[in-house]
Amino acid sequence: MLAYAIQRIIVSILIIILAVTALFVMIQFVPGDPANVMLGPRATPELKEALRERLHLNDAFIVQVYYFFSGLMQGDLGVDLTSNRPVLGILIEQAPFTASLVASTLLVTLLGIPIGTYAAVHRDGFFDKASGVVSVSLIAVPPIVIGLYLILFFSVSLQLLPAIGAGEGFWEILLHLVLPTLAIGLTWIGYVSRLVRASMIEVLGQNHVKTARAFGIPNQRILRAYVLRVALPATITVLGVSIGFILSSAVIVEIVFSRPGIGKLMYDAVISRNYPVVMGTVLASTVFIVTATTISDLLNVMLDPRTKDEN
Amino acid sequence: MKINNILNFTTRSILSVGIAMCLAVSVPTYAAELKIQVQSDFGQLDPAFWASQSDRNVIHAIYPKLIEFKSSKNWEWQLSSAESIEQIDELTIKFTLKPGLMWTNGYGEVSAEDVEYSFERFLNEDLAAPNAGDWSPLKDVEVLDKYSGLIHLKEPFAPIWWSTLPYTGGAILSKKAMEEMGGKFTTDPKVTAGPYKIESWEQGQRTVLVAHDGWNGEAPAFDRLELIPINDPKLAEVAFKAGQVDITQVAISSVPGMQASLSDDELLEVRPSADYFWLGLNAENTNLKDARVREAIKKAIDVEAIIEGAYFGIPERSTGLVAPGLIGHSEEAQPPRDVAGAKALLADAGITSLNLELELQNSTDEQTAALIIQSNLAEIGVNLQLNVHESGTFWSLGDEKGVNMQMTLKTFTSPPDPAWSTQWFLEGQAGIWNWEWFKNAEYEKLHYAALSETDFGKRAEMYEQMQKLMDESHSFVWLIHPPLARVYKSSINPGLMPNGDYKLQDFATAN
Repeated sequence: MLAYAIQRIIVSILIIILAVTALFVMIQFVPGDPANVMLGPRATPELKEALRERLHLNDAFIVQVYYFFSGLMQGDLGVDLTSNRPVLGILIEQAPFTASLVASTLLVTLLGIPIGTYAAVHRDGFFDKASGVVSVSLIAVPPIVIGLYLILFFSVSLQLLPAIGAGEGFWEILLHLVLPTLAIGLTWIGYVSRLVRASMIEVLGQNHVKTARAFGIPNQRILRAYVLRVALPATITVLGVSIGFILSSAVIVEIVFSRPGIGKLMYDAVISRNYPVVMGTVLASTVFIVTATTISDLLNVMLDPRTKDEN
Repeated sequence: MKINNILNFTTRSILSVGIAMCLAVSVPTYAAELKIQVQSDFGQLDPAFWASQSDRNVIHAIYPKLIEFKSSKNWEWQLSSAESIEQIDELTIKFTLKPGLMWTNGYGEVSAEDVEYSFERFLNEDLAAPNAGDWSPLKDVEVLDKYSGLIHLKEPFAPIWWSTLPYTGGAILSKKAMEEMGGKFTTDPKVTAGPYKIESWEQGQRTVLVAHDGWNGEAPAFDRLELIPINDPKLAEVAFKAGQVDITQVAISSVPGMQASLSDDELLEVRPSADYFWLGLNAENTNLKDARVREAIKKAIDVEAIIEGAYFGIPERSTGLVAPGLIGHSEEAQPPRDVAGAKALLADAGITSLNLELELQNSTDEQTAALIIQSNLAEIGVNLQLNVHESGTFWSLGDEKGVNMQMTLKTFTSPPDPAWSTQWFLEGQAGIWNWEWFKNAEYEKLHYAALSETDFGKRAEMYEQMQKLMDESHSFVWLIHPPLARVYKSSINPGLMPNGDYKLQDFATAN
C-alpha cells in the first residue's frame, strides 16, 4: 500500500509539472500584451518595453519556464501585474472561499448516496421514479442556469438569501454559501444518486447478498456491510473526479454570485492577461484536483484492494 | 479518560464557536452606511499609476486635493483642501492650504512640503510613472511656508485646471510616509488624509471606507461606505433588486424596462460619459486609401438606427470626439444618412463591389451595432465581415494587424480635458492607438498649441477645428458618448461627477 501511495504521489507531481508546462505553451499563443494591462494606454513604449524585460516576456519559452519553476521552488509565483502584490499571498487569501464552496458542494453531493440507496431498495416504486425524473432533469441543466433561477427566486422574489458576495461572520458566510452550493451541487446530487442506485441494484443481485439473505441476516445490516461497501468505490472515484468538475463550475458560479475565490480570480486574470495570476490560479487548481484524485484512488484501494491492480 | 478528552474537546469546540460568533456580531456599527456597486476592485492607489475607474473612485475619496470637481452635471471645480488658489501668470500658480488637515496614523498635518513632494514625484524618471503626462510641464513646486507654495510650469499648460489639479494627478500624498515606503506603493498607501480612509480591503469582495476624523472639510454624510465589486451590470441589477447594494450601474439595455418598473423608493439616472464610441476607417489600408470610399461608408451608415437598435434610443448622436460639457465640444450635427450619395461616391471611385472586415469586441451592444453597419453597407455593395474578439485580443490588434486593419468599433475613455483624447490621433500614435492612421499636420500643430492656450474661448475653437479636420479625413464615424445609467434608493442623493464617476464623499441622504 505504501509503495502504491508513493508511486501515486510521484505520478501526481509529474502531472502538475506537465499541466503547468502545457499552460506556458498555450499562453504563448494567446494574443494580448500584459504590459498594456499593467501600465495602461498612457505609458510610453519605453516603459512597456522595460516591463516586458522585467517580466521576462521577451525571453524564449524555455527560459520563462525555467524562471517560473525556479521561483516556484522558492515559493515565489511572481506578482500580480495590476497591484504588484505577490501572487502567492493573493492565492492564500482567495483559496478559502473556493475551498469552502467545493467542500460544501461535496457535502451536498453526498445526499445522492441515501437517495440512490433508497431508490435502489424500493426499485420501481414512486420514490425511485420521481427521483429518477428529478435527477435526470438536474443533470441536464448547467449550474449557471440553476444559479440564475436560484438568485431570482430566493434573493429577488423572496429576499431570503443573499445573491452576491461571500459574507463576513460565521452565519453570514454560511448563508452566502447556500445558493452557490446548490447551483453546483444539485446537478451532482442527481448524478451521484443515479450512480449509487445503479451500483446498488447490481450488487443486490449478486450471490453473496442472496446468501446473506438466506442466512436471515437483517436487511439493514446486509445493506451496510455487504451492499454499500461493494457499491461505494465507484461512487468515491466519481466524487474524486467530480472535484475537478466542481472546481470548474466554481469559476462560473463565483462569477454569477460575484463571490471572491480562485475561479473568479482566474477569470479576471485571463481577461486582463495578468499571466502571473493565471499561472498561479491554474497551478493551485491543478494541485487541488490532482490531490483530490490521488486521495480518492488511495481510498478506493483501502476499501477494495483489488482496485490497486486496476489502477 | 477517553470520555474526559471528548468532553474537553467538545467544551473547547463550543467555546471556540461561541467566541467566533461573538466576534462576528461585535463588528462596530455606524450611524450611516452605504453599499455601493463598483465595476471592479481597485488595483493601483498610487495617483501616478492609476488605470481604472475603480482606482479613481477610491483615489478621489482618500487623498486631499487643492481643488476638486463639483458633484454636478457640468465640469466645474471648487476649492477643496486649498484655502485659496490663483494663477499668478501663465507659468505660476499660487496655493495656500487650509490649516488643520491631518494625515491618518499620526503623521501630522498636511503641509506645502507634501504638495511639493506629491507633484514633483511625477517627474522622477526612476519612478517611471505611466501617468507622468499629468505633470509633464511642471518645473517645480516652491514651498513658501508651511501652508503656501508656488507651482512653477516650464510652459503654459491649460489641462492643469481640468485633468490634473482637480483630478487624480492633484492627489496629495504624505512625504514622510512615502519616503518611509521607498517612494512607491500599489494598494496600501499606509497614510491618507481625504474625507475617507480605507478601513479594510478584501480582494474580490469589498473595500470598506470610513470617515476620516482628521478631515477638515465638510464631513461626509455617510460614516461608512462598502464598495462591492460586481463586474456584470446585469448581475449588479439583481444585487440591487435583492437589496444587497444601495446604488449600482445598470446595463443600457435594462434602462427602458427598469424605467417602466421602478418602485417608489428607486430612482434611475442616465448621464452621458466623456468617453467616445466610434467606427474607425484605416486610411492607410489598401481598400480604404481612397477618401471617396471612406466617405461613401460614412454616408451609408445609419447612426440613428444604431442608437435605436443597440442603445434603445437613449444616448444622443455624438458630434465628434469631445463630449458635451467639455471644452471644445462641437454643436455642429453630423450629416444624415445618404445612401444615394454613398453609391455615387463608390461609382466615382470605380468600385462595384468591395469586401471589408470590421473588428469589434464581444459585447452585445457592439455586436448589434456591427450587424446594423453590415446591413447598411450591403445596400451600397460593400460586403462586411465581422470579426468579434474578447477585449484582451481586441486591444492587441494594433500590434498584430498594423495597416492591414480595416474598420474598427472602439470606445476610448477620456479624462475631463480634450487634450487626453486628441493625443491618441497624433501621427506618432499611428498603429499604436491611432488605428485610423490619421495624419494631419494642422491637427498636430493645433494639439500642441491648445495645450498651452490658456484663453478658454480660443482653446475651444482649436478643439472644434481639430474635430473638423478629423471629419474631413472621412476616417471617423462618430456614434455616441456611451451613457452611464445608475439606479439607486430614493433615500440617497448620490455624489456623481458629470461623467457619472462616483464622488464618494458627496453621497448624502435625500431630503
